[in-house]
Amino acid sequence: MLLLALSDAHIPERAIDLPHKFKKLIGVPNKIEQVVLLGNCTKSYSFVKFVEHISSNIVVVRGEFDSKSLPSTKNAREEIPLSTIIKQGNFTIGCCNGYTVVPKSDPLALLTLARQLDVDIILWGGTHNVEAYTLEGKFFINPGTCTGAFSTDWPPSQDPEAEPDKKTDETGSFADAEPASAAAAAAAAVDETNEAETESDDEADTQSVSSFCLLDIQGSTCTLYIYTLVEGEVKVDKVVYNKS
Amino acid sequence: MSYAETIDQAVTNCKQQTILMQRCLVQDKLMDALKHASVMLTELRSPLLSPKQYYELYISIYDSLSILSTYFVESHTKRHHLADLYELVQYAGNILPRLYLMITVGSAYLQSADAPREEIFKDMIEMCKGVQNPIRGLFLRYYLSQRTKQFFQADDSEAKKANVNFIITNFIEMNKLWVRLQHQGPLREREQRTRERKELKVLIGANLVRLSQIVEMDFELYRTEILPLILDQVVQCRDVVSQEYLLDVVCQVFPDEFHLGTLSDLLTTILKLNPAVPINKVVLTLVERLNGFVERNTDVEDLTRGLAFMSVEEGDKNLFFIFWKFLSQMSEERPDLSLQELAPVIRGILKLTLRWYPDNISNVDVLFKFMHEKCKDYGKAASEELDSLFHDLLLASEIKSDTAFFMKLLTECDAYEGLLSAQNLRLQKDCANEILDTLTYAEWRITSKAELEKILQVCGSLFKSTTEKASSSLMLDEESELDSGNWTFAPDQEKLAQLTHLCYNKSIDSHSELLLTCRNWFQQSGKNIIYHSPAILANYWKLIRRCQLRSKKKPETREKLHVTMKQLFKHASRIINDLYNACGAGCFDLLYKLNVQTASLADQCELSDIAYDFFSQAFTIFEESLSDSRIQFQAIVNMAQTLQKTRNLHTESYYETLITRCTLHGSKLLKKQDQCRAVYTCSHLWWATEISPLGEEEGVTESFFREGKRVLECLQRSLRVADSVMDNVQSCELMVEILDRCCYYYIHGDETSTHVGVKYINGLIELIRTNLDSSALEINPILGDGSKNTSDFTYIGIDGSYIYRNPASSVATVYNKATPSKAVHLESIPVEHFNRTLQYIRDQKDVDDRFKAINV
Amino acid sequence: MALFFKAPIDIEILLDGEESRKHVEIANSSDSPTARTLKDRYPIYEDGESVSGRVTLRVKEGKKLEHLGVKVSLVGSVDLLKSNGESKKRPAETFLSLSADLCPHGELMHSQNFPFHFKDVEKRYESYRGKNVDVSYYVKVTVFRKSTDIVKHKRFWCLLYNRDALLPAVSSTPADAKSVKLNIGIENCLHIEFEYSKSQFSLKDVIVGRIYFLLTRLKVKHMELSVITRETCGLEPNQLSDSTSIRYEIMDGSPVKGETIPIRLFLGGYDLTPSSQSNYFSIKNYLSLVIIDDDGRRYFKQSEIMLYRKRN
Repeated sequence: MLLLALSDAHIPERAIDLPHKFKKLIGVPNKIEQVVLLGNCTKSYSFVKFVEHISSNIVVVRGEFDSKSLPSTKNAREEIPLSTIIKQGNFTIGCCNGYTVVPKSDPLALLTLARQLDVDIILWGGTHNVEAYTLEGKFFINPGTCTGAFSTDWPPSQDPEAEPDKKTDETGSFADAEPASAAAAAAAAVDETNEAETESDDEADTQSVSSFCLLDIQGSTCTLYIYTLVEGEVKVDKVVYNKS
Repeated sequence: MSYAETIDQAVTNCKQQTILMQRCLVQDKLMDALKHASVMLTELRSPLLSPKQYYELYISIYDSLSILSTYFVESHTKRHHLADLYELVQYAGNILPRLYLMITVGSAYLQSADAPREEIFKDMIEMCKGVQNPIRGLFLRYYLSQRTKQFFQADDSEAKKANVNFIITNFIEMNKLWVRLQHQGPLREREQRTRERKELKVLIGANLVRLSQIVEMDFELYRTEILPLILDQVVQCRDVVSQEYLLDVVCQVFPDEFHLGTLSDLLTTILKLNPAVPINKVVLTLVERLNGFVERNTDVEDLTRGLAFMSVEEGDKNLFFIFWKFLSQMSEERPDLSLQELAPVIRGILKLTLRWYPDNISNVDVLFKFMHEKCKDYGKAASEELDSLFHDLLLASEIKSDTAFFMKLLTECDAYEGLLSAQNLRLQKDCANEILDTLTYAEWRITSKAELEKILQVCGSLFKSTTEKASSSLMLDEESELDSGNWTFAPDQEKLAQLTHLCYNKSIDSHSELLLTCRNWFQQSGKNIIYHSPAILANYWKLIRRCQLRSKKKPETREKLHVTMKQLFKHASRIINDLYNACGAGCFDLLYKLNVQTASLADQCELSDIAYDFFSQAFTIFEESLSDSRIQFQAIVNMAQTLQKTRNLHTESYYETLITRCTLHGSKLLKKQDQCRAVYTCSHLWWATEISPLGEEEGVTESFFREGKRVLECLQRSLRVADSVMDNVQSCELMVEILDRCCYYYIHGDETSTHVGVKYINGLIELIRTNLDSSALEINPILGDGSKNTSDFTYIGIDGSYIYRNPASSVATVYNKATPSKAVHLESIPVEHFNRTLQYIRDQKDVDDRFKAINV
Repeated sequence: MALFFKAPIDIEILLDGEESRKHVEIANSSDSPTARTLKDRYPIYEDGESVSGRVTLRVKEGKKLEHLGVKVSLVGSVDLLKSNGESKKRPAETFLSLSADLCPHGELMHSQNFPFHFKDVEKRYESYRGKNVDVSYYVKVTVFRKSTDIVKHKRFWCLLYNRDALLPAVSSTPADAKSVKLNIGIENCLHIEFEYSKSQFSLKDVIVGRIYFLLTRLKVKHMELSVITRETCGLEPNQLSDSTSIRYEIMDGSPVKGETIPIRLFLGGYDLTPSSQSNYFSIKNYLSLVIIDDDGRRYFKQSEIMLYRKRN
């Protein structure tokens, strides 16, 4: 059973659309059984239509920029819950955008939430930063932002040496991407006057990495596929989680 | 001699006669064989057959006559001389069998070297005139053409010319017959006639195909001997079906180069056609051919060769010019042409110029201008059927495919906008939508203000609200929807919002100017700015982030960027204010969140004053306008989350002021359970945790803002509230949640720093136990053997909502209040939660010795 | 006749070189329909040609025949076949009669040969066998007896090639080349112009022409060209006329204004009779253009043409 987790699309206020390559990957009807929207995904008509086209089984939790209720269910005023639980296979999955989890994205705080909801897996969002880890036998998944939307959180460090962890690697690869975009900017720089001459195209730095997660749940095994868009190419990582 | 009544009978007769004929041929009884052939041919005189059936019969007979023909050739001069036979067969009393036989003999005779070719050709074609019945005549002449086609290989030009003349003569006669077929029979069967005629068109077209085979690459021959005659016939026949078909065939069968050389002739002919002929089809076919020429001849040499053809006639080698001349002429000579007919023609020429002169904007401009003028001439009569035509014209795939060109067109071609604005509002909106889609899909960067303004202007229709809505009674509903903070989809507005993301300029000032331009334009759309403002604001955020990153990379620019950033925050503030002014009640929650996020951004930029201002702004909205209790709770918790991640507010003790205010608001929330949760959440405000992008690390970084005493105070306070909650289930659940918080802090440090010690935790566990026990009487009967065997599971969510999980469904349902029907097992919620927490503590004992002090 | 009497003598007439001579095949003149398909075969002679041959009188073995003389004659006559209810031939004119005695009266004891020779015989008419008129040439041998004479005929065929005397019109040669043009029509309905290359044709000739449609409101089904041969005999008021014709479709379907339809008719394949004129009968040939419309109505226009025999 395939479960697609998308979060923080922020269309249209921060992003135009899903990356074309993502759309091609997931935009196939009847392949994915359930889609979880982990907040900030409900404001775009075209995006909602696209998700509905993937699967009719859509679970939504509220992000801070979502309205109280779903725009699509105009008549049945169903409120978007802050958190909810999904049962798939032998797993119970807690879903939550996490904008009311304090401290934000704190593993211990999330663990507390997992305990409160009595779930094996926590799907959360809000950070625009894809991550997955296990703690105390529970599985924590944040699919990041599916559109690479801008995040008002602290920006990842610009100094590659200061940070040893995984996030820096991503940032590093972004730094690699710079020469190419700089060339594009140089081409556009003709009419620029004094200031920008030496500046590189730094727009990419203000974007997050686009990513989403796909969970393949078979009985007590959950295989997580993490899709990230790096330098225009889709990268897939795989993590397997077994319920003990 | 008579004919069969049905096609089947006719074919059967033919087969019989063929067998008899073959038998006679074997015995060299030529006269008898001819008699059978003649009987067979009589079937072709039948007026009872439909064209299709006639064709079927013809095919069968053709094969039979081929047998005869072969015999003629083989026994020529051995048993007979074909010259004699040619005369002999002419004694047949009926003209149709006579001519078929005559052509069979004649064509057989042509195979012998000594045959008087010219005379035979001439005679055969002349005698064919005797058959004036359209269908019979057509097939007879088709037979002539089929039988003679093998003799048209000629090397010297005179013979070639003769052959060409022969085919053209036959073609002209066939076309006349074909046209005449339309007028056969009663008037009410006109349509059927037309249909039948179309079934027969290949018979006529075959002649042109044959011509194209003969002419090969002899352009002179084509230009002087072939095309004028064909075109003359096309014009003269005045027949719609024929004209349309023939011009199409001419375009298809002759080489592209020829069309280049004779373009003017072709176009002039188009103007002389029957007014009922759809000009656009013909033009399109021609354009396709010419475009195909470019496609096929990617080789420059070929292309030059092709263009050399054109110079034969045209002083000006510009193809577009020729078409333009045609267009003006058409406009003069055919004022009857409707927009419906004109638009596709323009579309065709557009296609041509885009293919041949891909970068030439002025050509396109001229075309759109022409169309615009025409639109004006026709006044407001533009009907809906035209919509798709104009849509096709304005958003032709050829235009859109190259986004750079498309942009150039949008921004440099005034006529484009003119033509667009001449359309009805609905179409304008459709087009604007598609334009935006195209740009966003290609992720085109808009870098200059002029460019942006042009696009906004083109998309101007989207700012105009559809007035019908205002008058409808739905208006009120919509109003209230916005008031309650509900979102309504507006795909048009969504696209405009996305447009802001296309704006980009390396220069931050210029970029900011682009955003301001957007803002100014969007102002027109009134309340709809609720859709755009967040997008513009988000772009300001990005700009601010850019400044922040730049100043980090190049400390020397820090001062200057600092000024810029302040300016940008001012713009951001203005955007939020605009939204407030325009929508107010509709979006307080949104305004609140925007302020909070802007504030956190300001904090990250070390602009504590600004951050403080935005936070204060958020509090003001909270105090004055947020009324929904659930929204209030979420707002406070979100504020706490944001504040907890700030780092630069400590000057002027902004931080203390803000977190106190936040906690205070939390403790004043309407519902006790909200108060409790808000306060224990706010305890984190006195316990900063690591922000790894800043290089902070738990256990390493010393400078965390932490005041354990306050943490404990918050927890104690929330516990008091929890205790005062009358609902036992809620009360116990809240206490377990507080216990969870305690565990959090317990892990984070010892009592000296967190003030949350073993004693306190043990006390809390005891309290919860007692409380659960006191309510045990109520719950025991059900709880006795555990609630796990019941089918439903219920949990209390992060905000105190009830989450019902039904095994029948993969997704839980969430309610804000406990619904009585599902309330049966509520009692088990805190019990189970408590058990899980205790289990967690037990587990921790294995890893952390400190936990051993806790009594479980 | 011979069926009733057992003829005591066989008379055989053999023309010189008969076997090598050209023959014509002429439809049997008998009235019975089956017999009509039978053909009679006759040797051909021309005008001015000598007719010679040999008569053999064969007496039955052991018998003898007494006779008053044997005569051979060459006869050319015009016979009317059935005038006014008479079913038998009625000789109208014997325009040629030459005779010669072969032997004086006496007794024939055994078979005997007698050559005969008519030198340079002038033959005024062509042989002709029509419905009402029969122009015949024959050699007649008569054995005169006291009782009934014994007679034997031998018919031969005479063809005349372009004899001025018979065809005065042909003689004025310039007219021969002149084309025939006719302009006919039905008001507001049909207007055609047709043209034949000439008005006089030899029997092996080809009629060539064209028809030009100036106006057609008529729904034409087809158009035929007929050659009609009309024989007329007798004198007013007892004139008899009868015609035979060939039909030849020259157009199928309805042409529009401005169309030109070609005419070409090979005469050579048909058994036509040259036009001729005599006191007792005339043979005239007409070319008839017939237009048949969709409703089966026929519109026609006849024009006389001269046919003459011409040496190949």
